[in-house]
Amino acid sequence: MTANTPLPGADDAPAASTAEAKPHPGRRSFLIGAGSGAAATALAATGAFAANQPDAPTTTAAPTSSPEVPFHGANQAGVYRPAAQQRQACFVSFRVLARDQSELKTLLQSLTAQGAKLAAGLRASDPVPSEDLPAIAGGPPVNSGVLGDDVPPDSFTMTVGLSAGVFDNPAYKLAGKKPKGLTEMTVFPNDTPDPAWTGGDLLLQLCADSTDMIHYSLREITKATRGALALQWRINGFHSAPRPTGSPRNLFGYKDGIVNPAADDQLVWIEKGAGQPDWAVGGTFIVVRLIRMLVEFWDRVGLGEQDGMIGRHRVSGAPLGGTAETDTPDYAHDPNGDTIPLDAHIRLANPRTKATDRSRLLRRGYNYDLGVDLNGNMQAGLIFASYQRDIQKQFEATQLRLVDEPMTDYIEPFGGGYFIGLPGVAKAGGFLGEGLFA
Amino acid sequence: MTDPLPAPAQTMSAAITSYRGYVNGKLDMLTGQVLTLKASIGNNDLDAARRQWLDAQLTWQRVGAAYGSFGELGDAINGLPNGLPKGTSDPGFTGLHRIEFGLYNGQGPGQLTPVAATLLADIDKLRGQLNALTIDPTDLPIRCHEILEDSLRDNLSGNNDQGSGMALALTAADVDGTRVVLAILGAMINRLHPGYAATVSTSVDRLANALAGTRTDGQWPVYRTAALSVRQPVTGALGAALELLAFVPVLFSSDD
Amino acid sequence: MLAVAAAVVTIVVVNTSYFGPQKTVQDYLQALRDGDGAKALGLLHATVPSVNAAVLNGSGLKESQADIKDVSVGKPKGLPGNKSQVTVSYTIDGAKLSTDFELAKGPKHWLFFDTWTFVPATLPTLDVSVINATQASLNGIDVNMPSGKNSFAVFYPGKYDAEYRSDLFAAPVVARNVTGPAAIPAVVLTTGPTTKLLSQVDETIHGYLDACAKQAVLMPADCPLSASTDNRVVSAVKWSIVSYPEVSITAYGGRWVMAPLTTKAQVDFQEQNLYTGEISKVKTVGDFGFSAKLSVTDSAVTVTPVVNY
Repeated sequence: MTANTPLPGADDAPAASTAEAKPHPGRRSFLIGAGSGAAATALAATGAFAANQPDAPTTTAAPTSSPEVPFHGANQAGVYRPAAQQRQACFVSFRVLARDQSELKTLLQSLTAQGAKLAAGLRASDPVPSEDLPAIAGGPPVNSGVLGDDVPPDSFTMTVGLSAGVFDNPAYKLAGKKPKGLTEMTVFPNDTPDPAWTGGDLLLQLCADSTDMIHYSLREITKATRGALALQWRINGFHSAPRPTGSPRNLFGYKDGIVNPAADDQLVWIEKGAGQPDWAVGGTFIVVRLIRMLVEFWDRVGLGEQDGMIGRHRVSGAPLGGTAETDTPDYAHDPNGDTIPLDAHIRLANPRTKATDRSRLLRRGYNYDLGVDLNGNMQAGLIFASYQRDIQKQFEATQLRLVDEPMTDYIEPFGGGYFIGLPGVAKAGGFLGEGLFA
Repeated sequence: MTDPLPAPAQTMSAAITSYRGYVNGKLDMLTGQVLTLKASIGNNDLDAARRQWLDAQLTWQRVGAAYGSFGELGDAINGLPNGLPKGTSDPGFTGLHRIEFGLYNGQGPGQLTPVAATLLADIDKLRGQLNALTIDPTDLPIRCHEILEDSLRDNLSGNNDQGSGMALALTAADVDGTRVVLAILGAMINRLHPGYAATVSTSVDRLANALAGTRTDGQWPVYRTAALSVRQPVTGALGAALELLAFVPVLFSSDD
Repeated sequence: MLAVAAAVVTIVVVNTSYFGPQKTVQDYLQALRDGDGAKALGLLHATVPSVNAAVLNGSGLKESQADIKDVSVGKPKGLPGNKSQVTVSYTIDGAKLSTDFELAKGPKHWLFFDTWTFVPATLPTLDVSVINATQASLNGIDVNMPSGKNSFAVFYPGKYDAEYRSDLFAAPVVARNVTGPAAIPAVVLTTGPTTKLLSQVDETIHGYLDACAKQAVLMPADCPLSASTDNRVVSAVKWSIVSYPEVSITAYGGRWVMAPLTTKAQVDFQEQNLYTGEISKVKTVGDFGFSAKLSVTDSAVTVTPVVNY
């Protein structure tokens, strides 16, 4: 444990210190950085700051090994990087309260700063950039302290999406920049949408290795953007460890997410000439579906029937008739569905024909386990998240094939939304969505 | 409330004197309002009584910086049933919220006239004690921040709602009360950190506008049933204002 | 048949006398006497203006009725539109006054008996100002007078006595008889020094001048007295105060100031003519002027004479 200075307010006695202010004090200050909305503009450091910043030790212990997922890049993190999906996640939908384009831009800059900072992790002994210093010292602490003094990177990624609402809002004057195909989420025949879990202008997908990092990051982000965003709905999710090997299981007990397209299959990232505005190149459409699983009912159904509805063996995850989860189902030699029923979930979702090849999508789902329903049954299920370059040709085409599949008796899609995942921030100095204001 | 704001004080003791004078004036107004309320209750004119209850409640909200100094009288005048053994039927539940409960839960002059009489007597007692009450010098800066934290915690959560759903109106009155304290402390705030008083005021103004925007034809919506799109600009602006107000007590705090 | 007729007659008789508009007025006047402001407000269906309510209830209200004597509630006079006028006559300190109340018929009570309610009005406002003070008392109730002003809602009929009294300064009582909702002439409490204060200041000035007179010199230090001569003073100088100044303290610009003071004093001494050597007696009486600054705190007044040479 390094001789780090305690956070202000953490103990009553002021730290014994030299009275002079040093140019780069230890990270004791309340980090409202420049560009984090109305709050920050007010508190932007004037260059003079409070006295009594204690000395920062110049040597620190090596940080515990905790992978850092780079924030910057042509594409946002949280989709193809890290390669292995993080264990914890939170999907949050916000209403944007910015009143005009200028405030929207400030908001996006603020989110960018937070995302980059959280991805990099920080050590309490690191020097604070002067624009992050509060103008008034002695206020509330730097951060919530939930992760201790040093904040590890914890494989944190933040992925930001905007809904159609932002482009339709005349205050932002972005109508001309609206991506093609970005609509309100379609209500499919078996859906039971709940207004409490739909809607919102801005999506944050936060992923990390630990649950406390998820909490910490959301709390930091909302504090930095207080007043510019109103949290509308949020749901935490978890990605199980392999049981015992291979892809993790969903709450129906089946291995999920076994098949996903590779990055160079050109199914996910929006590219130039794809009929989308230039600013969206490098982004992707994000579809979030909150799907409740009626687990009590499912647990009263025979295994054979379950296997038939899914199309895979429960234990191995292999397609029916196969032996390994990675086996490719051979539909060509099973035209009547004797091996894998014609209405099995995996068959309908991905018929593996040439025609349906371009409707494949990247899935990065999480299980969720909330509370209790009116009747004392568990509220648990799947946070379905898919990434594609065309909502209608990929997600909706797939979803339409699944209408009235047998599994629909056991699920209730109740929330989510369609979002445009913004392009990545190529390097420091840029910000998410900057192409919107060019 | 269109009363002009008090002048900025140059010292904390002048600030306390100024605030005490303001509270005196508000309690004088409250007496008249509760008299009128009691008269309407006596006449079984409950629609008028509900309007007059709100007027009186809002006047009380506007002296939010002084609650800490009122002690037991504060509870007698504005207490809640939460935490009382018999809840809303507890004889310890008295005052403005007790009247609200009665007016919105089918009670009439029989039950509410004695409550109004006790309330009048308690307000009178408080007015008598007011000039002798100690107001701690740290109270005003702390309350400058915390009046609106209490709005978020108690009004907008529905926690203190006894049936009227007037959380937004109460919060607007809390904003008025905060503005009075900001006006009195303004010069000292600016001495401690130039320009900060204006920064905070701007965010409080934005909150006031968001609240005003929820009214239709001068009527406040019932908060429980107000649409999310009505509530979000208010809670958003409130959060932003609180982040700035949180630094006011810090400025006045004497630990370096 | 007779029994029913008798019943109808009784009802009419009872209706016109017991439940008539006079009863409503009597109930209202009783509520005023009881100091029950809420009941009076309820009966009167009056709007309370947003001003100080100190004398709308309790002892302040009761006090407003104390000097109202010889109350007589007149017979109701019918007005068009099912209305009635009841005139209440009374005396306040010997003056014969009256108040007209307008009432309207309300729904019948128990099917036969009328209810009469006051036609709603707004209570009048009494504006009071007090010079050089921030408090006053109205009907015995201490009231705040921020910046020396306040406005009070009042019931009618009623007598309202405003005064200001402190140890050092006071204003004489000003009374207003309020007979109706019409505008009430404003009350100005002209504060001035109490006799106690005047005598304290007088004593200080006396003491100051006496001390001056004790100085056996032509020009006593820090004093208004002065005499001069070109000759040589060959005896002790004796001053005596012939008349002491009259002290006058008035309010000015939110402060208290004293009018300039003049004292008449006589100086006696012997002088020797420097040329002739002759010794002569000098006795001169003169008027000497000076002023004094007043410094007033809550409990004490300091007087500082100011002498300009």
